[in-house]
Amino acid sequence: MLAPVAARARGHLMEVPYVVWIVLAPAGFALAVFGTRGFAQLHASLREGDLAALARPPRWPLTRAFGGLLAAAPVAAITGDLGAGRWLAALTAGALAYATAPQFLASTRARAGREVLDHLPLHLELVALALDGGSTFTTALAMCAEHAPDGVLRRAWTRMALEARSGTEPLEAMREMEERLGLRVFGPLLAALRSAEKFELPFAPLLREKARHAAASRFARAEQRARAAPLKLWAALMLCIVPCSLVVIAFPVARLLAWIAGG
Amino acid sequence: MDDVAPIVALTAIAALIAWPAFDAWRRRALSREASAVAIELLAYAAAVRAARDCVPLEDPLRSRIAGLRRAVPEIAGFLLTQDLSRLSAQSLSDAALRLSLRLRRRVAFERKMLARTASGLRRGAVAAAVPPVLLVAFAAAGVVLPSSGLVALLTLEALGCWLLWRLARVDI
Repeated sequence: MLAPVAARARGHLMEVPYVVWIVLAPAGFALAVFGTRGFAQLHASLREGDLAALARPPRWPLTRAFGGLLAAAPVAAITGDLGAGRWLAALTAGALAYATAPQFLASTRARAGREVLDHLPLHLELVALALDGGSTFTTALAMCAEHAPDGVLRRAWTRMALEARSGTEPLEAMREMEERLGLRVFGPLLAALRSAEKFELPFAPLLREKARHAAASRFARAEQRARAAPLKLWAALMLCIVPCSLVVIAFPVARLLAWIAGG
Repeated sequence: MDDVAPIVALTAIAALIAWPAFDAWRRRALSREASAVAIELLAYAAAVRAARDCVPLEDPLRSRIAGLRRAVPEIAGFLLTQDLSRLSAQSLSDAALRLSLRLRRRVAFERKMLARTASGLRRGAVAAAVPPVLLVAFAAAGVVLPSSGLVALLTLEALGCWLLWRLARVDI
């Protein structure tokens, strides 16, 4: 008796999406345009070492909403058999993506910051060497940008070197880079360089000393990660590899149980 | 198709198990090379100090140093000294000594890291080898895992082996 009612209800539910699609298509398109722009800006900020811009990215709610839409669309496509339940599943996936986007952004920013700190000793060492070789500070910055391995810091350094070449005072260019990177480690370095400039002391020994400190910090961070590695290996073993044996054993056991239950 | 799937799965699992071990072997080889280069750099620094002049790097040593460049970014600093014509012999010698010291520290850290993770990797390899052995045993008994089960197994094993490889690797 209820079957025709259920079928009619299902039919109505299946009709709704077409109406919704027509109404929401322009909104989705606009979200895609602004969201793509937002993602492109995030990518550019990360690439150029403008980490401070990631603290409050422009069009962030729209970018997050677009991320949610990108997560929801495949879920809606895959769970087509669920009928109306597909929209609930898609909504849940979209909401999850929207809610976790700030954490993803924060972790990406932290990773880029760690990369900068890891590359810093080499950059300072390169500038010190170039200064030892008789280069001016501006030329040393350019040589460093040329010889350093590729990464966020190198790109930030390249921009700083270009600004210094185009007439900005080198330490002022470095201050601007510090503001863009938003890392506290550059503050003391800049202050020390300003002091050295004021007292007409050579930069090279100072930079080398800072490079030594930065390398020691990097080594300490690596030691910390290394100490945690055995425990993490154990966790990976228990969570991913041991269940594989259970997957293999479960199938014949299930068949055996089905055979026993079937008599 | 059903006959080929278990063979493909077993081959893939064998490759996945071998992956962290292969990477550990490669890192050991890299450490040995870095250690040898560190010793040669000490000799080079001594030669520069004795000559009180910027002695040019010999080509074999230069190519060995350049070969380590991807694994040891600090090499870029030392290679820059070869392009600086006005660098003093003292600075060149100091740069060679610094690089030698950093290479030795890196090698020591790498060895410690390999020793710390060796047992975990061994346990992981043994545990990862159990499912294929069970698969073969069940296949011999006439029980074959369906394709969806094989996919789930491969996904979990791939994730596990990737994690083993990634976690056992700490760069300094």
